[in-house]
Amino acid sequence: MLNVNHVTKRFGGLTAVDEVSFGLEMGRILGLVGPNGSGKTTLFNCISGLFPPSSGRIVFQEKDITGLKPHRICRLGIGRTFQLVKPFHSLSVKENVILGLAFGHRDRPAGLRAQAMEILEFVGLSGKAENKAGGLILAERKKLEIARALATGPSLLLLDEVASGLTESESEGIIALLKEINERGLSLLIVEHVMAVIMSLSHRVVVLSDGRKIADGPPDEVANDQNVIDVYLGEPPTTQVEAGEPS
Amino acid sequence: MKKSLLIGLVIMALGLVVPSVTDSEYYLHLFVLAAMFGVLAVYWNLLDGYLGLIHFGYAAFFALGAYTSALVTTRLGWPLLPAFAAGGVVAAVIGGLIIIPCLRMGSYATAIVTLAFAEIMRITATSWTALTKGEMGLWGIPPIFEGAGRTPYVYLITAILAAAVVVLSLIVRSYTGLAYVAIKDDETAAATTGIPVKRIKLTGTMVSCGVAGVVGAFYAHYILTITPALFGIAYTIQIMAMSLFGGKGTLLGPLLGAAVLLLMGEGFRFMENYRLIMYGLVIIATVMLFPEGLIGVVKRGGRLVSRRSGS
Amino acid sequence: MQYLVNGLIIGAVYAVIGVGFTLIFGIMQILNFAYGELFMIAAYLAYFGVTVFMLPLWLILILAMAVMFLIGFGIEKAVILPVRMKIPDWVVPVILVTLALQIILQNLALILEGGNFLGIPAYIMGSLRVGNFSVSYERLLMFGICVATLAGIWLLLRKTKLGLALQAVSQNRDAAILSGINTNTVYALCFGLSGLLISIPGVLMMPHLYAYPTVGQVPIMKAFAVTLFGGMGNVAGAIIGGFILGVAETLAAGYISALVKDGVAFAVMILILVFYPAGVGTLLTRRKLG
Repeated sequence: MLNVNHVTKRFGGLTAVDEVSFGLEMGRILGLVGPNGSGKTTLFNCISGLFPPSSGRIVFQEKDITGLKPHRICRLGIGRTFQLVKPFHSLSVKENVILGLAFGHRDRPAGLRAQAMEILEFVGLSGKAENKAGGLILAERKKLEIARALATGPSLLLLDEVASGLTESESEGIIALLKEINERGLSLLIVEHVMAVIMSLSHRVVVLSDGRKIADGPPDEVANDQNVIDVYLGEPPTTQVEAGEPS
Repeated sequence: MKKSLLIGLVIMALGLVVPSVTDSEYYLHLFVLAAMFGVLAVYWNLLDGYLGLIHFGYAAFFALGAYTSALVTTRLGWPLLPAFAAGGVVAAVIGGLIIIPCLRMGSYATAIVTLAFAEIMRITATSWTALTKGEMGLWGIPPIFEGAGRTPYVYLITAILAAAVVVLSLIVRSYTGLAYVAIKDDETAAATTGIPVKRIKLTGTMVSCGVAGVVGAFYAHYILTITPALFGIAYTIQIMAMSLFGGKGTLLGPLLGAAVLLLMGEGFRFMENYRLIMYGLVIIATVMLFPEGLIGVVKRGGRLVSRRSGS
Repeated sequence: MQYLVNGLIIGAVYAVIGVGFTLIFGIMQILNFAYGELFMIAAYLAYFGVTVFMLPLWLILILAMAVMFLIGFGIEKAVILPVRMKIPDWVVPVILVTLALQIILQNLALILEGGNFLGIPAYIMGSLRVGNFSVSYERLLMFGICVATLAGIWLLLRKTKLGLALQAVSQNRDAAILSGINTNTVYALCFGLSGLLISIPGVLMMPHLYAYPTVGQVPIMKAFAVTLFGGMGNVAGAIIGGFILGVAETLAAGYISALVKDGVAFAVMILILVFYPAGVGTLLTRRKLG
């Protein structure tokens, strides 16, 4: 359903993403890993339209979405969350979700408020519906971002480091939530530092290093790939839950 | 919905009562000015307080409306109603055109582009004497109400103010209004949530400039002479000060700011040249002591009173 | 040729005006609307220096620079600092305060000096003639002092500790604080420096202008234009922008008419903004702040 073809993104002289290609099938979970600065978030920004790729094509459900405006891409069915969470802090939790419902679809659906409550119920935030989003704790803000993305009615979710900065039990909660979302038929593309999350969720893993793709395959195969091991300084990628990185 | 209408009704009632309380031409004139600046401050605030666009050329759209309406009535003999509409449309369209390049840039570039635009308009109005009669200004503009004193103007501007406030309050409470807040909180997240950020900023700006144009048309047919000075930064500064002084990002703050600053300006009149210095000092003092503006003080006061009476 | 020379001379003045303005923007992200009023104060200082105290030009210039530095520094400490301390999101409130300062300073001048247009004769008489074009010695001196000032500010930003601190704060306020730079001092010095810079054209332009309460409207418009041209907060861009604006204006006034002078400058600015929103200066300099 999503095809990334030879996508390159340059900033001045710096090539952040270099000729990266991969595909993601309907209903699958693809993990995107790599050291800091390897171009994962940049790739996300290219897919979600925040900045257009310098070259290459991005095709989503047989439609070329390369260089479309972010709100168009969102309405075509790609939702996303941010590594540094960006809920609309001066709005209430419910209003955040309502915005996704009101603007994320080509035609504004009816019964927004009821639908918003259903989504909040699903992610486990219905008790905080009337609270200001700015007052939530990190784990709740991450859930709210997922809820807001879900509200736009996506068939593909891009999740940028949803588990970073969370305690072990919090990130288990998020993993369970993501599994449930996937079981409902949504495809997921996840960027994650916490390897346990990638390993336990992904059907396939793509590894980036310095903007280039260096491995692509099932998680256990990739974890033992020599290139990947070299990139992670001679050690296989850690499988334990790390504390989140601030970057 | 109900609250919006209630605010509108209160404003209307005020407008109806004022002429029966005083028949002083001077006080009625002050009321008309306060209401006029009230609309401008409220709609400048739509740009700065809601859309995060710092607009330093706002008075130019007021002036554009004034000139458009004055020209189509005196030169082409248009009736007043379409002339008012023309004033609004011209201001809205040009306001939109000017803001388009700004949307690609930061808010400070917006400030400078809009300022430069206003200045170009002022110079154009000064030097295109064939059309605008230059520094002399346009006169002989047909009045709205022939020889009827100021009272009908009070009613008309009150109606415009009430309508403007109700419309803005409906916009702010709509999904578009929610999107305004979202864009101010985080533009990137807003875009990826499906909000067409640029289009919303553009339409918001057009509404704001269009309203300024209509008020400008009213001004032209009320004062009956207009000069290129209307385009100048001085008026924009006055509108900004009213809006920020009253409390930005709120609906009624700028209205309060317009009324208080205008009355204060008049109240200090006995101080002659010191008047504007006092004006400046009051603004600085407000910024330092009440950063949320006057409306913040009123709200805090209100809460204090309700707590007292509750306990 | 005559136009070009005149343009370059006025361009040097615009460059100094622009640098003083863009410096504050680059470092504090604010537009200082009271900037023109600092020019006005310097113009009055020059007027009294010449007419009342009968001082020589060099002494007037040095005194004006010192006084204006203190005034700039004092304004930051007395009114901007308290606002910054009180309001976390202080950019717009500070702009409002500079607007209020503008009103206050203009009206103070009106009360103290009245609305008269006070003029002084040329500082130096005579002019240099080469072939069929001529430049007055005074303009040559003005050009020399402005170029020297620009060179001085360039060295200051590049080579001194203060310059490094200014650059650090402009690039990343939080990181600068963490590395032990006192931002409050930097901001106050920056305002002082800005006052010092504007005092130079304020004194030197006096024989060509008058001192009156709203004389500041002229330089602040130029400052806006130059800043826009050079890229906001870009010192090198402002220098280039100042020269280009000076030449463009002189040419427009010479070949078209004096009235369109300001209009042409602003129209060119808007076109530039549409096509190179970062400012033409960035195309030429590719560096931020010096």
